[in-house]
Amino acid sequence: MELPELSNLWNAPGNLSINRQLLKEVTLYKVKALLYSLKWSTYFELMLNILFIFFLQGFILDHFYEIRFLIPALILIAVTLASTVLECYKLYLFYSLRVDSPVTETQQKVAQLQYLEALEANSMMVIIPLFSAPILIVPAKAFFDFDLYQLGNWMPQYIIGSVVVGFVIAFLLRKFPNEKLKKAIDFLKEIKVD
Amino acid sequence: MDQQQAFEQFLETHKQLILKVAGTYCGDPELRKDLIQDIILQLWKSFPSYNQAYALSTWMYRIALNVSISSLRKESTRKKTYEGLHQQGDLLYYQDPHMEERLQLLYQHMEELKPMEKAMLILYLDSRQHTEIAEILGMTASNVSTKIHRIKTLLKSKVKP
Repeated sequence: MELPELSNLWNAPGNLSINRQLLKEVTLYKVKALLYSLKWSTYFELMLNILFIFFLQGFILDHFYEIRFLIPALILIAVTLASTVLECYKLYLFYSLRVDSPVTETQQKVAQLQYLEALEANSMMVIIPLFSAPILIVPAKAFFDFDLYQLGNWMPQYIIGSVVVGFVIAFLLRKFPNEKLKKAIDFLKEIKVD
Repeated sequence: MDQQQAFEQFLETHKQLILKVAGTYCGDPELRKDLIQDIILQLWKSFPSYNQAYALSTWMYRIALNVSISSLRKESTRKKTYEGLHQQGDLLYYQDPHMEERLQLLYQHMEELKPMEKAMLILYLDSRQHTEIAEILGMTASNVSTKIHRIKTLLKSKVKP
C-alpha cells in the first residue's frame, strides 16, 4: 500500500460529537497547566539558599583574616551560589513553558527540568559527604564559637575520608544512573534538533 | 459571538485532529479519554491568548502534541487531573470505529516510533506542508524533509503488502 492511500485512510471522517453541556461547565473551570509540576521544595530551597548566603557573607566578613575558617566558608558559599543559580534556572524554565510553543522547544524545556531535578537529587548524595567538613566547621564556629580544628588530627583524615566517599558515590552514580535521569537524558538526545 | 461559542465552533471544526493525535499517543481507550479531555482543557485555557500570527491549525497541533508527548512521558505516574469530570461523561464522544485493517496496522507501526517521529508522521499524513510541520515542531524545513524521508522509508518497508 502506498503512502497517499494511508493518508486518505487517515483523513477519513470519523463519528465524533462534542458533549456541549459538559463543555459549557468545563469552560468555567480554572484549568491547571499540565506540562510539568514544579516541586514546592524548589521555592523552599531557593529561600534557604538566599538566607544561607547572607549568613555566610557575614561569617566571611567576620573571619576574613582567619584562613582556616575563611576557606570552608568560601567553599560553602560557592556551592550554595551554584545551587541558587540552578534553582533560578529551573524557575525560569518552568515559567517560560508554554503549551502553544513549538513542540521541540517545549519538550526540551520539560526534559531539561526533569533532568535537572534528577541530577540535583544525585548531586546531593555527592555534595553532602564531599563538603561535610566545611558544613561542620562553619556552623560550629558561628553558633557555638567552637573551633573544630582544636580536636587534634581528625580533620585531615576526615577531609580525605569524605573526599574518597564523595568520589566513590559519584563513580557509582555514573556507573548506575537512576532511571529518571537516564530517561531525561535519552529524551533530550532524541529531541535534539540537529 | 461570545468566547465560549467561538471555542465550541472551533472545536467542532477540529475535533477530528484531537482524536487522531490522542489515538496515536495513547493506545489504551480509558487513558485516551483522559488525554482527549486534557487536550481540550489546554486548548480552552490557551484560547484567549491565541496568537493570530500563526495558523489556527499550527497553534492547535502544538498544543495537542505538547500535551500528548508530556502525558506519554509521565504515563506511569499519571493521575487523573479532572477526576470529577469523568462522572459527568466525556467531552468528546466517539465510537471506536471498526477500523480498516490497514489503518490498524498503521497505528501499530506508529507505536514503534519515537514521540517526535510520531508527531512528524501525523502531520505528514495530515498533508501538512514541510514548512508548516517545521513551524509546529520548531525545526528547520530541511531537517523535517530529511526526517520525514527516513520515516517514510521505514514505514514503506513495514506496510508493504
